[in-house]
Amino acid sequence: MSVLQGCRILDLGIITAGAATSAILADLGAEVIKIESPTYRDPFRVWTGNGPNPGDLPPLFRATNRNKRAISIDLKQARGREVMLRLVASSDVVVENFRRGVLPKLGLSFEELRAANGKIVLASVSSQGETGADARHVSYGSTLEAVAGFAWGTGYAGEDPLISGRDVNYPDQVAAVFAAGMIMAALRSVNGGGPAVHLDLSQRDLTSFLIGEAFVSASAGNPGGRKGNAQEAYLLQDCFKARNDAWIAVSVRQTELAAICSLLGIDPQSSVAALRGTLERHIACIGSESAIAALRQAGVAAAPVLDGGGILGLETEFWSHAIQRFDGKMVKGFPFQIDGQPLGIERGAPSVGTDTQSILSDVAGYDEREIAALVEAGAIEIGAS
Amino acid sequence: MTGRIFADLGAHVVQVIDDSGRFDASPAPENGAIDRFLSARKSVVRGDISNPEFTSRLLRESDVAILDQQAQRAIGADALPKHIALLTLFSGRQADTAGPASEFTISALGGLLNMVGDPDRAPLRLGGHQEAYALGLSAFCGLAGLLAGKRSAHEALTVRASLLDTVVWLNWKAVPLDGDAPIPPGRSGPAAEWQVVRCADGWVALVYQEPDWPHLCDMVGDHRLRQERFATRQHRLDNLVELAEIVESAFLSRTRQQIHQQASLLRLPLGPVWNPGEVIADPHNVERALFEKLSQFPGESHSVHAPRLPVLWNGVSLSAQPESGPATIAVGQS
Repeated sequence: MSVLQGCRILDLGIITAGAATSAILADLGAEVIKIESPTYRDPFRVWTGNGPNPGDLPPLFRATNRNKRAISIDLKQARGREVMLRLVASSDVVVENFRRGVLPKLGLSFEELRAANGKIVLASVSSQGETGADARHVSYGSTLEAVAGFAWGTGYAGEDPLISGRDVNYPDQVAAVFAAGMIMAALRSVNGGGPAVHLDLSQRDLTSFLIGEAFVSASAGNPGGRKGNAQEAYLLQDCFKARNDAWIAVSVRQTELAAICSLLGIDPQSSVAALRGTLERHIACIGSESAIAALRQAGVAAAPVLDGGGILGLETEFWSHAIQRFDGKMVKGFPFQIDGQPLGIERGAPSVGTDTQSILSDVAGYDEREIAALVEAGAIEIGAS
Repeated sequence: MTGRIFADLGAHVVQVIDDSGRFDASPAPENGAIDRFLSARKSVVRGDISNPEFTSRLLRESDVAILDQQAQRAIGADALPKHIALLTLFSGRQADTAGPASEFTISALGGLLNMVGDPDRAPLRLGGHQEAYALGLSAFCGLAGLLAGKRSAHEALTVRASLLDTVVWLNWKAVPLDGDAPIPPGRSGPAAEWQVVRCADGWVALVYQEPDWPHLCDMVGDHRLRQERFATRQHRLDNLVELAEIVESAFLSRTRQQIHQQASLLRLPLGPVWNPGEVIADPHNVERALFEKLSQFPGESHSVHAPRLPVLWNGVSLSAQPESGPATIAVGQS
């Protein structure tokens, strides 16, 4: 029995943040219906992968849309909008991350959704929020790292700020976890008798929230800045290159000073600079595995800096659910797991409109004649199954 | 972080600090800023968590406990509430391994360190405490699921959130999802497609997608960007260092504010790098009331600001008006 079984989500989310939010809800057992249009697809559908079969769905799309069903509705048409509102009437949540202003323009504002379903939860997962001077400013995750104060604290000590970049796009990832959690908090409220909820979930707000302590410090006159890999609570923390050219991450607490000085054969009264220099030379002379083993033996945190291949090498031994396999392919997994009601992947990502007919029939109560008329009018699209 | 979010949602969150001296103490932040931020709106209780009298009184009326393995072993399963979030370093066969480890070394294992910085220099961590905070988001998400689930209300359920799984989940694009695909490259420094460039009064994040390119050329106004070697995305990928240098040379005569305004007009996703003080004063954030004043300590002369919970619930900040939030839940935190 899954946690969200019996809950229905209408997913207008595209690319990462919106689609990944709904994917988490699907993993928890909700019925998630991905809504695209005959004239507009999720852009992730055309971000090609490098797989051996050109007919495969792109990996980025697969990763964030598994466990979903798919319907295709032209929301710009009045009849398409009617279909949407009938679905809203029998659903619990609508997730969207369109450009601000698009949903009201389609006649699907929160007020209009609430008129169709007085218990609906609308989750607007946007870059900069529903309001504010920059609400309509176009952004991607790394744009928000800059404007949220996040990039200011990332970089080599005393050098230029840095962003996580296109290959991580950090705010997009965390946004999905937070948004999914907030949607479930809203569901709890609605199920407990509360009114319909519109959640204004700004990735920019979240990105600032995730460096909340930087603003506390700034309030006290400390503007912060780049410290490289140094971090409060650690006497010394950085990456060091071993003889085999592998990088090792090391964190040394004050309480471990005596042990590491003993390992390195230096006076515990030595300066941090001297400790750093000696450690750097020590690691440069030996292989990474030996260096890590010796440091860990001394009680010091040390680990190799891994790439994607190294990460997969730790699967089942050190991590178990972050990446999953479905139908012989890897997809994004789960950020957490639940004993007794495990998150799982039951179906692969859908083709466009592959479930249009069954959703209209089973969920919205249309009969075959009505569905045919909607197809004829171009208000819906029935995709290949 | 998990408790901080629940507190902002209106829960009564009790932060339990073990004072028996038998467990690893949490690292004390250098200026208390982390504690100040994360402990907002929580109650604090000190005691010996392995003392059944202390813990049973504390947990008897709690709906949820958020704890690590040390605390779980000390308290014992029978004393815990039905819903718990168990935070660990690892899952899989090493789920019971306790360390030595840090956020930094877990970030190394999860490949996140490999993604930031210059390829010929040391890998870099992201600012702040992203690994631990993201773990907090994961635990919050799982617990919110348990509390929302109609059928799980009466079942004893445990959310398991591991630091390494969280980092791998965040860094999922580092793994080759297609069987025969090469391992994605790591940090690319000055040759990154998206990167930070200098301008007259600071820095700007140069972020754009394929459709943005013509508008970026218009905004930069340097004819060199219209040359054949930048004509397609592949051409640009082959010449990213030179591309960034051209953009930077144009931006060095413009301020961040000017660039922000030009980017807005052309619908370009460029981002001026604001420092924390500038973020607090930013008109967009002021209009959204993103920052709230925390309670001042006795003798403190300055106002202390921190971001509110990053959601507006029917247009309202939950931390500003908790009565407009969801039904209250009680959460006990260890």
